Amino acid sequence: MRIVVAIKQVLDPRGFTVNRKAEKIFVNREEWITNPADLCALEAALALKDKLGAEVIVLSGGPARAGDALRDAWARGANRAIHLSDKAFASADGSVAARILAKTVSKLGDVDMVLCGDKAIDTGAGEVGPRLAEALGWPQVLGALDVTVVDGHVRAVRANGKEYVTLEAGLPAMVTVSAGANKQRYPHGGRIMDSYRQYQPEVWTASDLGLSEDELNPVMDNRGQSYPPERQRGTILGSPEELVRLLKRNRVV
Amino acid sequence: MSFADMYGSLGQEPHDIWMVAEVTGGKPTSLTLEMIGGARTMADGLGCYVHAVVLGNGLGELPDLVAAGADRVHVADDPALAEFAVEPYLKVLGDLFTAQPPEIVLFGATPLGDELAPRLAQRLSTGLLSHCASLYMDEIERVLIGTHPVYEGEYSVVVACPQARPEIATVLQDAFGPPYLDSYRMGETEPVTVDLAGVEERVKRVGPAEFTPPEVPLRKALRIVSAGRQAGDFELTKQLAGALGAHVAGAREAVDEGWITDKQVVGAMGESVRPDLYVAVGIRGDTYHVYGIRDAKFVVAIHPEADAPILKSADAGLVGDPAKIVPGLIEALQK
Amino acid sequence: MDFTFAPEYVALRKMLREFAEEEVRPLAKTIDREHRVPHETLKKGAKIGLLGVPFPTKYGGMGAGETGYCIMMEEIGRVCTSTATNIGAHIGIGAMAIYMDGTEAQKEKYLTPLASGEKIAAFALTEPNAGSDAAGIRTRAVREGDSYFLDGSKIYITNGPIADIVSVLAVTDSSLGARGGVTAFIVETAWEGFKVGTLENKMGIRGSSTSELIFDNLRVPQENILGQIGLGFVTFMKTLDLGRVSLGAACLGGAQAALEAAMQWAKARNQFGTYIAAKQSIQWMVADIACEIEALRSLVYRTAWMVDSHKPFSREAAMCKLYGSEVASRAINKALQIHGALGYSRDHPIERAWRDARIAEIFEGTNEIQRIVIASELFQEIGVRVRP
Repeated sequence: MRIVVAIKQVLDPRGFTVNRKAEKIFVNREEWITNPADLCALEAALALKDKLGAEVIVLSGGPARAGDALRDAWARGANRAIHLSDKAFASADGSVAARILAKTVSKLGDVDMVLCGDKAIDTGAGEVGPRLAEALGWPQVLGALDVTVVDGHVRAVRANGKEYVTLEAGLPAMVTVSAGANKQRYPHGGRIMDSYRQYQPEVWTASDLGLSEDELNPVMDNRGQSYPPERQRGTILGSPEELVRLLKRNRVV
Repeated sequence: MSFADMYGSLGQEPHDIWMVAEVTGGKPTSLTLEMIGGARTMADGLGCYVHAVVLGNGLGELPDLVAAGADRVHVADDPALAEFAVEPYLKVLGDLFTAQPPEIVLFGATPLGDELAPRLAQRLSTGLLSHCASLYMDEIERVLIGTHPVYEGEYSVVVACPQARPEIATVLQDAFGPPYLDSYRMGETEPVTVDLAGVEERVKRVGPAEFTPPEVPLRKALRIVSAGRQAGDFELTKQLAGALGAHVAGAREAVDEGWITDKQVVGAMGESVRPDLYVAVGIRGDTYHVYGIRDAKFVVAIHPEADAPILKSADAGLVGDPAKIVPGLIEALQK
Repeated sequence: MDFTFAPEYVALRKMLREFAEEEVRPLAKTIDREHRVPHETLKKGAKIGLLGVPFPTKYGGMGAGETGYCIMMEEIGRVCTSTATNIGAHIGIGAMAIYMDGTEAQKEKYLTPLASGEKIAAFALTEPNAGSDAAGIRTRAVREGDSYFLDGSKIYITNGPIADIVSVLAVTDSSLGARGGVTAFIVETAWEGFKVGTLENKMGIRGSSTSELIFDNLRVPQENILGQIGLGFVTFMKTLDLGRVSLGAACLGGAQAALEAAMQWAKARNQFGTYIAAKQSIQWMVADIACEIEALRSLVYRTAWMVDSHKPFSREAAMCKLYGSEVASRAINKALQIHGALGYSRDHPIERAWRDARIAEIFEGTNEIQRIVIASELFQEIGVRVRP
């Protein structure tokens, strides 16, 4: 069984602070981490590797530092790690990312399942998974907490309000995994050492994938940032109902 | 693929604002009505129409859709659409949008929207303004501008899809204000031809499941309800935590009261926590406790004494007897 | 000169930092209060190679050398001195003695299960009459046929109560003294004649177990002689030498933790209308601690590099231990002062750190001995012999 896991790096939020008054982001410590939901997806894939002997191939786009995320994935137990690296990929938006990943999955061939995090903390969009499913023409199961394979079908448990429900789809399928779905194993220290001393992630470029310039043109435009209003400390409210309205407006509940 | 390629052959420019309505208990959801209201405002500015699409089975009258501002309501009523399913819904929408290319398509940022919008966007080779907390039309450039929170709301990113059409967006609750329902408004309702030949929902619901999520330690909890000496009945604190899906914690004195273990103490002498929501019930909030919540995103304080220090540093405070306020809060949350 | 860590060490440190925060820190207060060893943590750590960091992979270790070992001790020492002590005694002196002077057969038999954490090691040198004066040990090893019989006792042995394998120094020929009369042995604690004695009730590192070890006609086969007969002192001193570097690293971690805590508190604590971080007295304390930490960091990792590059390191190792223990004590003391009365509370981690740090100036060779080692090496370079 062949499983592909798509991961990406995000800036560690513990390394920057947002000054709402100055409307600026201060990066105190620039550190890149693998998106937490993607790590959950990788862990789910590795659990299937342990149980079913599945082959786990990890993909990531991004600049040179993505190599660290790929080596980390390899150290955790992935069989192969591929860096999708090309200057032309740098401007990719969700639609382009999905195309790149879809081409990679097709080129790898015989892929039974693609797993990725349901959302990235730096975009919160949750779009790449379903876009990729569409590009591949596969069914999608979103927000999985537990992933198993039974008789050529993927079975996923996901939240349904305060309860849980099992969904099933025939393979091949695209499954996104939620952050907090599982506790990830620590890679063995020896594997971490080897991931730099013995191992090298594969590198695939735009021409390896046969992607045209047209296919790599993003449609989305970034128009800047906006900042939440400053915290209004010391606000006294009149009733619990008022509080609940405030909490909802601030998207806290 | 440019929209000219997509639509040029059909001789149609994309036009009008479309939205996908969701119906529960026979009525449109409040988010649906908000979106129609928002679409109405934008359409008035552009001089175009608002269309609402409803999919389901046995759908009755939905007058609120027109009252909120829809010019035309497209009803796809079919047994195959009774429960939300990605492939049948996508086929119906895809066919509809091919025949009548929209300029804008709005979905709620709901499970339905999260499943359909990105897939539709990929199918139509267009962009997606995802999870917008605010959305408006830049009339000079004639482009939709969306703002969506990132890093759990630390800041927001402003995005647009300048060329590709339709512009698809998923919209969060409260992005648009409450709609104005005008029962005198006129609108047409027309049925949608549902052609699901060869379309099969490939994801099936097997049944309810048992699942125990991995334990989240207090220091990583996203929601915490914490009790102090003036909390009164600790049971109420626990119930509030239950209603919020929150961890239970306390100030140091809560250990003396026998309510919590010292592992649940928040403060300089216990844990430092960084939740999205921290509710302090009956905690006066001296320096040592407040130190533990210095990184909390939103602090609510409930205390009988108006001069309690915590009320000055909390984002929102309620002064009064927790025994009365907490049950009221639980009730308001469950509505 | 490239002062950056190779990327594999950066990645290793990241993983260790996470492990320390998620698995070790949550138990730090508990094991101190309950006076117990965190076996569950040691097991989890063993699974990812923590109990064999410096040892080559062919013996089941992580192959990360002294540098990797120091990184691990720093990261663990930053969150829990007790856990660092348990691991340090196991790797740094217990198993290390076997790695340094063991035969291939001994390494295969004993080092491999130790590196994988399957078994735990201890290092037994100290006796009631032989602390700094290690040559004064009295435990006897009497030869009979192809075995030696050990009689005597050791004291203040870290991991004594939990060890499976202990490196023991005993007198084989009292007429020859330290040079030629003392031999090192690998002892299995399951053997008849081995007993764990009184458990020490220590001021600090209470999450680590320290006890007497009693040998009563304990039969050790001659294959278990570690190193050369009569030259056990050399084996033991060599091992202690190397152990000093990683001890310095653990002290570095502790000092770093103290600085971080003090700064967080100074940022939050408001007195006289502003946070105390705005006060010069606090700023000077922070600056002083930071300077010492920076100097210690350079010292420890340069010495680790010397070890990994097979350069002589004895003097620098002694400096790591001496300076490290004193920097940690000073840093923690100042940090406690910055916390004020809060730092004096047993509910606050700095109080535990203060108690935990004190032992570093005493064990693994007292700081007085370290000073003698350093001075005698320095004077030797200019032709002066000052050995006591």
